[in-house]
Amino acid sequence: MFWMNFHVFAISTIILWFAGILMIGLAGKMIRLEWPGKICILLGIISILYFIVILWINLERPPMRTLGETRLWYTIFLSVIGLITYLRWKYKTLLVFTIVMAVLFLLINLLHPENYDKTLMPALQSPWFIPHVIVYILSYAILAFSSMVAAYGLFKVYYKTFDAITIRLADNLVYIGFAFLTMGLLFGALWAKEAWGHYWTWDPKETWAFLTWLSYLLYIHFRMFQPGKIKTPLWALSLAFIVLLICWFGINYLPSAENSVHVYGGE
Amino acid sequence: MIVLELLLLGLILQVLLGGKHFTGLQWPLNMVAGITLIILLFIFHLFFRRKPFIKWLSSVPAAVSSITFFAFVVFLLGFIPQQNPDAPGLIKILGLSSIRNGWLLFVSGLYLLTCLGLVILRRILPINRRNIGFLFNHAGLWIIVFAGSLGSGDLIRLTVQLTEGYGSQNIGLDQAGNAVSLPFSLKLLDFAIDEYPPKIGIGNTKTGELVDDSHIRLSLIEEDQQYLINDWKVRINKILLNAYPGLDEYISIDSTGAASAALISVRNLRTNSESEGWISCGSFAFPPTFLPVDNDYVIFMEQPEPEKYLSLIEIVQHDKTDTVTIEVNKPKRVKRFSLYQLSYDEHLGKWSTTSVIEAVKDPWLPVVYTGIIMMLAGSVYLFWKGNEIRKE
Repeated sequence: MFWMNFHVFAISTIILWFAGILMIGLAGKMIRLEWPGKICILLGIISILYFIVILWINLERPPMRTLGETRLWYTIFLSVIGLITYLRWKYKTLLVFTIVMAVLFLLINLLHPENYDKTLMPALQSPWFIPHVIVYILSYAILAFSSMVAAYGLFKVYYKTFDAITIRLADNLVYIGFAFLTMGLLFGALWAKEAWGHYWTWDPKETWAFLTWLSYLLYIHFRMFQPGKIKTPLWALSLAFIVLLICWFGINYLPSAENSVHVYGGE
Repeated sequence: MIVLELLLLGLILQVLLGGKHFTGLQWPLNMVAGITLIILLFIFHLFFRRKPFIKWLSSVPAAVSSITFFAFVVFLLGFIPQQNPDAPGLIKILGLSSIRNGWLLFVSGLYLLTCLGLVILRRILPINRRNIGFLFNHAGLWIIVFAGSLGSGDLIRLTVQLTEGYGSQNIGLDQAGNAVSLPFSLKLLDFAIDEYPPKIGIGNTKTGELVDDSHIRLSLIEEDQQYLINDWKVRINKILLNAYPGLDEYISIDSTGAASAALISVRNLRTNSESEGWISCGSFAFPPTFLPVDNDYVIFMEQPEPEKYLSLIEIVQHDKTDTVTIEVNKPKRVKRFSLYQLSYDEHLGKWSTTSVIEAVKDPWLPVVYTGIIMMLAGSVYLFWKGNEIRKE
């Protein structure tokens, strides 16, 4: 029944993160609050990580099956990426974005409590399970972050404070996220061959995963095509994230997805 | 512009040749088509690369246009329900409910292969550190799309239904239901299912809804454990995994048709009323048993979920006989075929003596895997490149 304790961890994390952001926001030359702020954010991450570890032990299977379980990993990756980017490049705004997004995913889990379900269907019992899911969620987190950077860039364009560094950062993130996305897709193909007999069957989830992949591929090529244009790629990057979200969550609601082999319940 | 023209071409071909499904070419025609494409690409590259149009085809704008076109077709494929017999007439005429083997996907794929192929030829030399990642990604993708689509005509997927106690069999059914013979024969020695413990829940008999205390409404039960579901405290006194209903209790019997049953006691924490009795998920042999906990609610047991299922199979080839175990995610290779555990008789559940095996032969698989490995190497390069730009 370990999900019953989830709110304790989620709420302490949310409090720690908001305290952390507040401290980092207030930190200036006079007030030395930056370090305590960073530590608060780190503690928040550790609290969720601890929950995942205990959940894993309790479930006796990797907690990567249901949407709620994948949201936990997403929260972790997103906040870690936000913290690392902040430590390295001092982007306060982006740290706030990632933390707000991570909190949003925690809130979804708080509002839609998960079934505590130990079962793992035979098709998911494979050595490919963990690398496939981890690589995918990591890439989703990095690509979400790139879309936040894009939205931030559009905001800066609007206020005429845009500088080229923003889109360069978005480019880097897309390359890294796309690398993981490619690995996730290919791992998925190799696994599908083992589990279902063929590496590609145009299952709705596969189709949308491929479409997500093509969207980011398009962004990468468009940037080479017209490096001078800023607004179009920024919009494209924000929209590509919507395709990604459809692939991740929306697929269950699409008319074309009635017989998907990728619907494992959860909500 | 060219995208619009190709889009129209795809749709026109579809309408003209409509009804005819593009099932893919079979050996050796697919190889001939593939080699023709490769030769054409080489001719374009070697003799016409300075012609503006051919030059354009290997440019970044052409890449953008071909990805856009291909993505658009994939979007239609992902959005419009496929193989839907009730699709509106126009969608059917344009082939939009069978895009997978339609001309639109063919034309967009061919355009993608052309642009991608020409850019690979243009960039293949010199092979150096800067170029190798580019080649891995582009050539890897080209090989996957090329071999995946040409090879689809040679892909053989046969389902073989085997039953314990019957003799060996060398006939499988393809997706159209035609009988095809295999170069070996199979005999099912044993089929076994391991199940998770059963789950219990409380449901409203009038509305049919589950009591929604989501954390535990359906949890695996264990003997001598207590479960709190809303206001009810449920205690599991005894679990029988294989049982038949007797006169007033369940009796442990380990034979066909037996199902899980549990003796439970339930106490309502608000009213303090108690009840005790048996529940069972039932099987094809007898109906389930519920325990009423008050006027509106009953406690019930769900059918246990399979944890794993496997078939012990004897494979007879003309010179030798092997015995193998086939399990989900653990296929076995025999003579260029891979054997997969596909399903079983779900009506009989754990008492099924029938196992459905899928035999798959895909001669192009090594080529596709070469492309996949190249792209995996290429993605490592992308990761490294992403880091490199950042350092500038």
